[in-house]
Amino acid sequence: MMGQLLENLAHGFSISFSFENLLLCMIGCLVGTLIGVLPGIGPLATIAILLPITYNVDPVGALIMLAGIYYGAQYGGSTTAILVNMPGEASSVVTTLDGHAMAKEGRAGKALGIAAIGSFIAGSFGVVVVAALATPLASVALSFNAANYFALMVLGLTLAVVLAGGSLVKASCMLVIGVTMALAGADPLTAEPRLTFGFQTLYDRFDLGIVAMGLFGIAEILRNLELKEGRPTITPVVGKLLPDRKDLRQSAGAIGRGSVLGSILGILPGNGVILASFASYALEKRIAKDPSRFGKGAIEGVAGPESANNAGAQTAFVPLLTMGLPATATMALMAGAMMLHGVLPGPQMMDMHPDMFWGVVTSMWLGNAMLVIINLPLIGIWVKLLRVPYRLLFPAIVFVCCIGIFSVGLQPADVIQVGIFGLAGYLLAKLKLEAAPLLLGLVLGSLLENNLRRGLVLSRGDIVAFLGDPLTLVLLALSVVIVITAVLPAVAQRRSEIATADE
Amino acid sequence: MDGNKDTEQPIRFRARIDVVGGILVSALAVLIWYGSLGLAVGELRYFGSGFMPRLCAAALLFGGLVLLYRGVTQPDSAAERLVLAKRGPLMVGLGILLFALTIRGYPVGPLLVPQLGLLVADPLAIIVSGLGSVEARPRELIVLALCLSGFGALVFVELLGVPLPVLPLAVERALPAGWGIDWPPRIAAIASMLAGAALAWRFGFGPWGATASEGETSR
Repeated sequence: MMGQLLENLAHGFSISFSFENLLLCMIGCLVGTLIGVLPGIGPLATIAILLPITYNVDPVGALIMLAGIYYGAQYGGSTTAILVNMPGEASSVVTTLDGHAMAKEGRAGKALGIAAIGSFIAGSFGVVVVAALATPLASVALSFNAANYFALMVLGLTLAVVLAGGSLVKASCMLVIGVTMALAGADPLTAEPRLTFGFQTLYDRFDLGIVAMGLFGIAEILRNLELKEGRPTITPVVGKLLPDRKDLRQSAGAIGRGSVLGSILGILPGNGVILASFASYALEKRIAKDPSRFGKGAIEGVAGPESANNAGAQTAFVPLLTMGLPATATMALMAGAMMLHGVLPGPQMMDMHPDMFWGVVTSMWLGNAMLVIINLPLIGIWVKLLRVPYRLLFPAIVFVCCIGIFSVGLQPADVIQVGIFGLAGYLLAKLKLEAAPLLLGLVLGSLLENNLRRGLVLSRGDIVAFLGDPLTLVLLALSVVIVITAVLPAVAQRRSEIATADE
Repeated sequence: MDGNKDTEQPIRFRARIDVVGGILVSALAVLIWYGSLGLAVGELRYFGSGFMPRLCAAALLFGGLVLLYRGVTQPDSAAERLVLAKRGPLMVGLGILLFALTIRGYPVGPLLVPQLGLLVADPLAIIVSGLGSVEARPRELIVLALCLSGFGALVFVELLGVPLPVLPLAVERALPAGWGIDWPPRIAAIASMLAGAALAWRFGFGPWGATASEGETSR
């Protein structure tokens, strides 16, 4: 087993070490850090915007770059959290507590250093977890029949909706809307138009890239335009950039615990990465010998959460790569990117596209290494970039969106669709209707229908037989239990706490 | 600043987000059901294309009505008012629309918008959508537009090899054939960037587009 794993990793490294893939990895990491630093734009929106540009790139490289953006953003987010007390990413909220306190004491360099080092160690650990879990999980998933797979998807979606916070009713409605959108277009079996209302553009199905770009890219811009832009006070980086031995000794435990905690929580659907950083902070504070240090510059308060969120960012890929289940909106976009290039994410991926699978997994480690090496010296530049005013940034983003989506099909109608989804996304956000479940539904909708149909065909329409399969029954029952627990008041309170932290 | 939780003035029913959301979702459900009327439903052991849409429509109607009910019955303190900004969405939407219409030409009813190409469509998109911010400064936007358009033209057309129309159709047709199809767009793009740089110098912009009168970040 071990030998097999090492062989796969070696194969993966041979793929990811190619010049083109290394370059794409670096671009992804740099762009990721950049948007992690810049307020007003996050990894989800960026991936949505850059998705069309990857159409022309080879699939492995495209995925490496997009993944780099995702975990690169974690690094960037911690930089602003420490220096400016402004979390660039939701998962860096906790880092602002002790990280900025350290900066005010003149220990910003150490905070940044330990965040980077901890993230690297945790990221490496996360990659190992992904690689180790890949084969066993995939073989489990391969043994699933259609009904089981349908039940698994239902469970995954339920978890994603429940753990994402916010109103359960609203999130479920958006999920169903997303599924329906996936059904609109040419019927896969009969090719007759379904839910197209006579529009030709709808017959070609809703394009994931266009929907994502509108709902997440443009809509986010429209929301940000309502906020007053504040000038951030940037604390100058003073002191050594690297932590000394004492700091390392103090943080070692936190990094270790954070890595494990993050790896586990990252696999969960929903906001696993954010959850991981909060949980790590709470854990470190609980087991510290002197909890009163926290909030005033305890280095464990930076090392732990930063390690956790980075480990989580790696293991978030596990459900997608091994079972084909996107757990968050970002993963749904990755799934979309893969499907665009004709790769169906899931258990068969390892057999049919081992290059892509192991190439992506190994590139995650390379990306982490690059981020540590590149980012620390570039901190000065990132800090300067914080001064770019949003009033100039967002027209540039709109411009990239327009060109990007037009360059795919050369259709003005595509660009108009982006605009429409942008406005719709704005309205939805104002109505507090989350767009992320919609994206999940859009990506999984066809699969849900196919598997349900096949499952029912296999059981000859007999619901009892359909549910009689033990695995199906267990998975569906779990989903019901989770929904019920979510509706209970105590749990609802907790979920709303996580949700508000996400904003 | 966050959506008026007025204690004096209760929020009107129709302005509550849950009410509006509930109505919209329910209307969508009805629309989906209507759209799937012509589709075969089949039977459970082999359902047709109409099965899932109707299932979704039913679930959506249920959810929408629950939302509506919640919106109507919730106490005033729990309700949130729907507040929509106008300037931002309007200008950004307009900017995107103008880009779509002018990049390659588009028939709008009896009129035909001619192809104006990237170097016109991009600045339009940037300037118009940029005006969506209350802090917009037209001069900065013009500089940004010129520089980014040229840069974008070079990156997408030259570097990525996407066959985007860069120049207006009228200009393309007027160019002598001897000039070829590669160099005129390149030169135009570079000229655009240079024009932007010249204007920036003329307007007195520093490296980040901040004029001297703008407050420095405090230390």
